[in-house]
Amino acid sequence: MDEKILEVKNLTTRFNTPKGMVTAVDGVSFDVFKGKSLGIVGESGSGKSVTALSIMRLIPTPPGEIAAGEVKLNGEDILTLPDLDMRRIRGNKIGMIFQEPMTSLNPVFTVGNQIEEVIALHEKLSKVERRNKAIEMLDLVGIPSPEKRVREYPHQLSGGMRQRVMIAMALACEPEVLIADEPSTALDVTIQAQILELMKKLQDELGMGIIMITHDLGVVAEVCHDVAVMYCGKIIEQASVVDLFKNPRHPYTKGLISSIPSFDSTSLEEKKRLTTIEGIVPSLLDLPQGCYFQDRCFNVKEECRGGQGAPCLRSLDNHNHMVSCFNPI
Amino acid sequence: MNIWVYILRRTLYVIPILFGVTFIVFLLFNVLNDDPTYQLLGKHASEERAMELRKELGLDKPLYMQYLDVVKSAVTFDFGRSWKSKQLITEMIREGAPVSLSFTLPGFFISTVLGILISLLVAYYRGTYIDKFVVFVCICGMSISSLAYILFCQWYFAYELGLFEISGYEYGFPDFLPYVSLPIIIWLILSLGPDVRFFRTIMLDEIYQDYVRTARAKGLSEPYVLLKHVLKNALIPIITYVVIQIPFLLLGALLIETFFSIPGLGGILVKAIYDQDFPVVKAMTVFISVGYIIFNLLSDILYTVVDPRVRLK
Repeated sequence: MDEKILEVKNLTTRFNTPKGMVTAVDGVSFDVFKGKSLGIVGESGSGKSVTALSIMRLIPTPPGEIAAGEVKLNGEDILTLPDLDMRRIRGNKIGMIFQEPMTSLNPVFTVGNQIEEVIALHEKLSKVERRNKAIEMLDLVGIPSPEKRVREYPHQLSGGMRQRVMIAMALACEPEVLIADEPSTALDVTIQAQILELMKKLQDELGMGIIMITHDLGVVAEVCHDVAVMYCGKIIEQASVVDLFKNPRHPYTKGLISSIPSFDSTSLEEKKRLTTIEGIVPSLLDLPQGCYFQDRCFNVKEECRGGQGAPCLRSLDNHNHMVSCFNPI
Repeated sequence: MNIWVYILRRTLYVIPILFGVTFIVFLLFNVLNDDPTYQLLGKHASEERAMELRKELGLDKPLYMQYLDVVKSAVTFDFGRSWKSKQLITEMIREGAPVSLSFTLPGFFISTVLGILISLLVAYYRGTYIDKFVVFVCICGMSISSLAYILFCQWYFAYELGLFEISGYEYGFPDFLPYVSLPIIIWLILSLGPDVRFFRTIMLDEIYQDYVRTARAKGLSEPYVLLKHVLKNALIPIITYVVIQIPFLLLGALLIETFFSIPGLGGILVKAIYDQDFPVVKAMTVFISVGYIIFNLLSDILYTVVDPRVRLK
């Protein structure tokens, strides 16, 4: 049995916008296991990043607010911790990397300074030891001549290098969980592959659990063990990667998978059109009664439209495959 | 790129600017201005006397020579003599500038430091009532005319309470202190409003940047994030705003100097304008322009200290 490090239960985050209250994350639950990666996929605005920021308690308050739920790190609910204790967890027990490597580093401090800062905060090391550890971390994430790079500023590094620095910074205190919010989205495809490869390698070496947030199912297939698909703030399907790709049960997931271009010989010869999901994501301010996916669903039935309310996430035949749909495929 | 090459290049930029500025001053005072000889001598002066005066003032020279005189004065700071008092203008500046600085410099320094501190505090409490209250006070403070503050402070603090002196400036430290205290306070009231509003906008611009989120995700406390990460980035625009003000401190505050009988440069300039003492007005214009150019150069150089990106570009 895998060791469970992070347990998210019924997490609900709301934002008070001028147009009304928006529930960006709506009763989300999942577990993260040691040495395993959980992928969270969804379109923009589905609540992936807000979920990540809620776990870190970095939601700007106001207007945001974590309205309900539990986030248990090794059994302890971190949502109720005082601020001071929460700061000891950030960057120490839970590391986070962000989508925009170009702007996520502070332009006016050297990368060494920025890595040492997090070490100084969470570990009792001397100045020299901190510098050595920063160099060691840069070496670990595959930055050539780290002794030289440690004294450089972010603008002297390429996007891929900066993302490596971000990873080095997030992992400097050997966190148990690494939250990666679209870590490869802003990078070139070849660099993307390198970064994902690096994360896999580091996971094997350091054994942290990863939450990989992405809109790219290819990334999920590449690095994750389990996947949760989010739509309008809810998880609508959750399964192991193999299960989900082989046997998607929610019409939305199926739509997502069939909208990935494939490169096998038949599709190249026939030049088949890509399948898309019709319609647009409903506004969080104006969600339909019943299932949120009803207007785009090819399989919509009477029961999906109101009456019984939104479908709950429930497991089907296979205990680990959960779906929230009245008529799973 | 080497930092010295950068400084040298910036310094060379000064040359065309200097020619441009002096050309405008030359146009205003030597070309567009009426011949001042009859103003000075009266309209019944003899032709010979007028010629003599023109020669004395250098007005008989061809225009391009007159222009070169202006350029020369900008470099040597030799502005000739006042028409009115016949005093060397350089001397007048040397006497007046320290007097102006004796109240503008402390006022400016305190206002800048206090303004940055308040704006950091307001950034910490962004969006709350504390933030709104500070902005409200700033706008109220800015909406009232400086004349109102001067008159009220003179009447209340100096006359009613007898706390400060309002005239009879004395030279030399610490003798001038009683005479500059109230001007410094008024300066603070006048400049804190715009300063805090400007610094606050910069702080808030920075606080929503991605690197701030990264800093928070490391577990740093909010005050630490503000004082280290936000402040150093905010200093880049703040430096321009602050350094550019320094040459104007030499000139003092025209109104304050007049009301407190402080014999600073501001007062000298106002008097020169009344007296149509053109060499003095012209000298002040050139003097402040050159100061502006020099401090602009200085702020460009200071950037490199704060912003590592500047050096490479």
